[in-house]
Amino acid sequence: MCGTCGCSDDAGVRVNGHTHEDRLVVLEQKVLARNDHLANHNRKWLADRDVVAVNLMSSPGSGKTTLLERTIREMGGAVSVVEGDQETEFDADRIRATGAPVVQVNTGAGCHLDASMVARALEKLDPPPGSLVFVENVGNLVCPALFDLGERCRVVVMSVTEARTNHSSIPTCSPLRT
Amino acid sequence: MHGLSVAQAVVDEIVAKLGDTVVTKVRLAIGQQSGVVVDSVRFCFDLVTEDTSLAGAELVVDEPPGRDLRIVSVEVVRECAAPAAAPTTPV
Repeated sequence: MCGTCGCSDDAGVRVNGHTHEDRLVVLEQKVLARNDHLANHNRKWLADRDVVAVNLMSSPGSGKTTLLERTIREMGGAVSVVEGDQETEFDADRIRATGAPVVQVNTGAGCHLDASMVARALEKLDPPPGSLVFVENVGNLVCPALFDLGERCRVVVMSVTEARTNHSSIPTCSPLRT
Repeated sequence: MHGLSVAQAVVDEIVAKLGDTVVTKVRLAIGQQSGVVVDSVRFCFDLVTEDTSLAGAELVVDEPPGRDLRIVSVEVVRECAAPAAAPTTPV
């Protein structure tokens, strides 16, 4: 326990009459400091390559992947996708069918993408300079909002039936940081 | 779910900063609009601190308005300083 007097060491010399006291260490450190640091690293990595990344968020089933499929087909230009889902490659397969390069990230039990997952995906995706990357986040309206991925901006997709209630009752999505 | 990643991040940050110094108390600020469920963090904290330098540490959570998510402070066991005139005893 104590490195100075060796009081936890059976063979050590004891200093009599000493005590251990608790000491307050002020940290004032953001819990997600490591994620934020990696997100800024991603941001720089993207800027150095003149690549714009958009973080696409919504609840499950709102239509993110469908919107992406249409956008890719109708927009043209260099677009690639980081596809985030808890399990399976279904959404990545749909994007692949449009002809756009795509990397699937499976988070398992995780409910959101984080900066380290996106960093690894971007390395694998290797988007060309001047291109656009859509990061389709895991379907979840609460947690993804907390995790900066290094994106240029965020887009929330809401179906007509969700828009009126969710916008005001889920504070992490309204207003969004961009 | 979410409490686990927050609790794990708290432990990782503290260990990164303080090494294996024994921690007896952790004070967090979890904003009311942060989207983090405090009870979930409490539950997961005990799990993730097992077998670490934070094992058994007390967790105190302030819940200010806003979205902040921060480790405010920790209390650590001070390495002892012997009283000046204390005799030593070989064991």
